[in-house]
Amino acid sequence: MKLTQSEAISPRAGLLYNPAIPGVLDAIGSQVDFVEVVPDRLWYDLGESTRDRFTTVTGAVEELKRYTDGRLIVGHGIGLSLPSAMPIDERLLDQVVLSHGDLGYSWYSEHLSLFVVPNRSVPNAQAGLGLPVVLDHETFEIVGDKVGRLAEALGTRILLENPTVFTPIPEPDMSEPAFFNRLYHELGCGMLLDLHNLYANTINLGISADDYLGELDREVVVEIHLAGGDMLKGFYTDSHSGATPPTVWDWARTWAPLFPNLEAITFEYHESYHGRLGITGIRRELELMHDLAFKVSAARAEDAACARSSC
Amino acid sequence: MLVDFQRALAELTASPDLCREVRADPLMLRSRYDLTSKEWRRLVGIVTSRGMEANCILYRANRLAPIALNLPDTCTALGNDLNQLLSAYWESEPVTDVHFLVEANRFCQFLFSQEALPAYAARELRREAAHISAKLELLSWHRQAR
Repeated sequence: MKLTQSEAISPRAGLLYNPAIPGVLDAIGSQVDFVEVVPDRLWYDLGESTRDRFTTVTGAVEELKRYTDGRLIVGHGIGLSLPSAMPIDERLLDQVVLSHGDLGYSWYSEHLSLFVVPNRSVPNAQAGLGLPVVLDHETFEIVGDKVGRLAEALGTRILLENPTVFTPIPEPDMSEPAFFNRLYHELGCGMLLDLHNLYANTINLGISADDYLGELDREVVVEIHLAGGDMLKGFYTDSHSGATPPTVWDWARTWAPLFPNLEAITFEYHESYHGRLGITGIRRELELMHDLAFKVSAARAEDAACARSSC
Repeated sequence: MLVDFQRALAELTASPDLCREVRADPLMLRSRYDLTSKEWRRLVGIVTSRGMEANCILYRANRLAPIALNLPDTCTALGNDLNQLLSAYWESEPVTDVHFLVEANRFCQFLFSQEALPAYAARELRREAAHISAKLELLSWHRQAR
């Protein structure tokens, strides 16, 4: 079947917003369908002990609005630390709600990682350190309750992202894919499948990507993250430092057409590596993402045609 | 208790010394934290795994970022003393401030409280701390103006 891109329902291709993205949008904005925003980067958090805790980064929201005008915006938080065995940070949640009211996120994602514990936090400045969570029923209850609270507060869909893990927690009650499957089936919480995090885990932990992806129920995946990383003292890190590795592209091309609810493909990089990638490198990523989106829509059209003819 | 398990995991990640202590004497975790047998086994498994080194490296790299970005000359001037001072600071301030300027300013206050800083390092510290204070003042002004 010959298919043009406009005739098929196609996942969107977008970029994680960072201070270098306005320049990218000026140069190749026509290739960017949506922008994913880390709201925590739009404000200063002066700490829980302060009365007037949050203050907006001067000009950041205005610039973001100017550059995302007419584009879909997705929220991607890093601060709520949903698996923490402590109450949700209500003031931060209020701030996320305010941000959603201002920017209108199509959905909101967080991480299946631990960033905060009582009286201590784990800094996540750049190199992607979130602590692993215990994959057991207790954690599932904690995460589930907070996902419900977040969904209620925002009135939009919630996704959780699979983490990079250096130290898997022994004796889990369930595998990570099973945890995500359960989140979806019991709570309607979709998965943000970060294929580069999975890539890091295959290198550092020796796990099989095909086994991991094969265990996921296909309908759980709503968004895919792509990125590049670096070796650091013998470990591969999710440093968002460059182009997506070829192996990750291979997985994306094999698996993405199998995910019926996939709506978005996002490339993330850190602004400090903008010079390394350059506009040429980012354009190349976007071209590959649009090719991938087309492949997904072609597979969907084929499935639909097959269903109509009962093949 | 899960909350103690998580706290232990975060404290181990912040302290290579504590990791070494636990490797030498795993039972010390039981006296320090309220853990079930399964949680204790899990923590011992984590601490003795190769990946714990990566957790510790990334923790230090991420805490170092706001200080290195805002106090580069002070860091250079402190030379071999920097590592020990950073460890002492991180031990005394376990909650990271996500705001880089505030985090750097807190490190400045910590350094000012140290008695025997080399004169050259103290001079660089005063200069860079004043710059950070000025930026924070500006931020404060923005907040009041809103």
